[in-house]
Amino acid sequence: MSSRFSWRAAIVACGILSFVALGASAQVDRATVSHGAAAAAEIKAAAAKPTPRASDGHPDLTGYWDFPQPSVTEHTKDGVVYASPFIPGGNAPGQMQGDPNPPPYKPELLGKVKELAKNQTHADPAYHCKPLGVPRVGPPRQVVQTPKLLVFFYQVDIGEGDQPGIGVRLIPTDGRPHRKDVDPMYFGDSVGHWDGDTLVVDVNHLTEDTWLGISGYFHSSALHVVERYTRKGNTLIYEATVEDPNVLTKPWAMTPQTVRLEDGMVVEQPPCEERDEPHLVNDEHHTRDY
Amino acid sequence: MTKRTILTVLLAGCSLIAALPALAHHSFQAEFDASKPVTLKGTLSKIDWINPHIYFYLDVKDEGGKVTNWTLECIPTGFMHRAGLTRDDFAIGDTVTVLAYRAKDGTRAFAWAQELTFANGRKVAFGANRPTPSPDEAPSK
Repeated sequence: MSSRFSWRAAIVACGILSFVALGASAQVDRATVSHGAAAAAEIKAAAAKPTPRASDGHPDLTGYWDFPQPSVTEHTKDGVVYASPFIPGGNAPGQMQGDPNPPPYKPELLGKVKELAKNQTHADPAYHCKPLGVPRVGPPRQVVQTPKLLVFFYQVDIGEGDQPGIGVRLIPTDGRPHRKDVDPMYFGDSVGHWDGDTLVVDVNHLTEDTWLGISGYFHSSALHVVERYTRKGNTLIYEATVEDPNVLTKPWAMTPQTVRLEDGMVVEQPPCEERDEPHLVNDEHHTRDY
Repeated sequence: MTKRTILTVLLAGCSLIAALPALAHHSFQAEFDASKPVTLKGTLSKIDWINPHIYFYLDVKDEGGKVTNWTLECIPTGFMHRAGLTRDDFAIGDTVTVLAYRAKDGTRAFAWAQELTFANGRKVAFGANRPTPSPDEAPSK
C-alpha cells in the first residue's frame, strides 16, 4: 500500500469515525505525524503495562511523555540524515479538508473564525512566537508529581508556538482555591484534584492572546478550561473541555491526545523569532484547513 | 482482522492528520519557489539557532571572486534534535554545499535550505516531503 493511498484511507477513516462511531466529539487520539500505524501499536502496547501508583495511592504521572516518534537511528537512511518528521518510505504529509471536531461557535461568529483562519499567518498569536497556551499546548512533556503539587514542564519546538526555555505549570492539589492576584496568562492559573484515578485541573486567568486551534479558533477572556489527565499503563491521556459563553454555544470537548512514557528529560529551547511574515507572498499557511 | 485491529489502524490514520499542524510554521509554497532550485557551495559564516526556523548564513564566492552572503532558512530546532543533530554539528567556517529553493518574493540571496552536504560527504536533508532538486537542473547560482 503506497503512503498516498494510506493517507486517503486515513482521511476516510477519520470521517467514518467522526460521523458514525463517535459523533460530534470525536474520540480520536493525536499521536504522531511520522509513525503512523506503528504509533498506534506502540500506544496500545504501552497502555497495557501496569499503572504505577504514588505513595498516596493515586496513579503516578511522573515521567517524560511524548508522542511516539521514529528513533534517532531511523532518521538516517542510506547515509542521509533526514531532519524531518517525514522519512522516505514512511508516512507522507497530506491535506485534509475540514475539522471533524470544531469548537461550536455562535453562528454570528463563524465568519470571523473563517476570516481569521484565512489570515492565520498574520493573526495567529502562536505564529508570532507567542506560547500556544492552555489548552492548545496539549499534554506536558514532563511531569513531577508530589502529594500536594504537580509540576508540568513543556518543551515546544515544532515550529508552532515554540516555547523559549522550558514552559512550567504548577498544579496544586491541596484543595486551595484559584488565586486572585495573578494576571491573565498563557498557562493561566491551575488548581487540581483527583477524580478517582484521573487528575482534574481547573484553569482560569487565561489570556485572550491565544487560539484554541490553528484555524482561527479565537476565544474571549471568559475562557475556562477543565483538563483531565489519565494515566493508563505507560500512556497519559489528555482531555480538555473548553467553556467560553461569549463565543461558544456550549462547552467544547477537544479531541483527546495520548502520549507515551519514554526515557528523557526536557531541555531548554532557544529563542523564538518570527522572521517570515515579510516574505510571504500568499495566505497558504499549513497543510490542512483547520 | 478483528474489530479492535481495524479501530487501531483507523486511529493511527486519524493521528497522522490530527498532528499535522505541528509540521509547519507556514506553507513552503507561501515563501519559496520549488521551481527555482539553486546549488550553493560556500562556507558557513553565521548560524542563528532559533525557532521557528534555524538560519544558516553562507559565504558563496562566484567565478570572479565576489562573495555573496546567502541567508538560508531551515527547519525548527526540534526537527534537528529528533534526528540526533545539535548546533554543534555545524561549525562556522565549515565548507558545505547546499541545495536550496529561492524566495518567491524576489529577495536576493535568500532561500530555503533543503539539503546540506558537508565536505566529508555527510548529507543532511531538511524535509523529505519536497522534491530534492537535481544538481543537473539547478542553476550555478
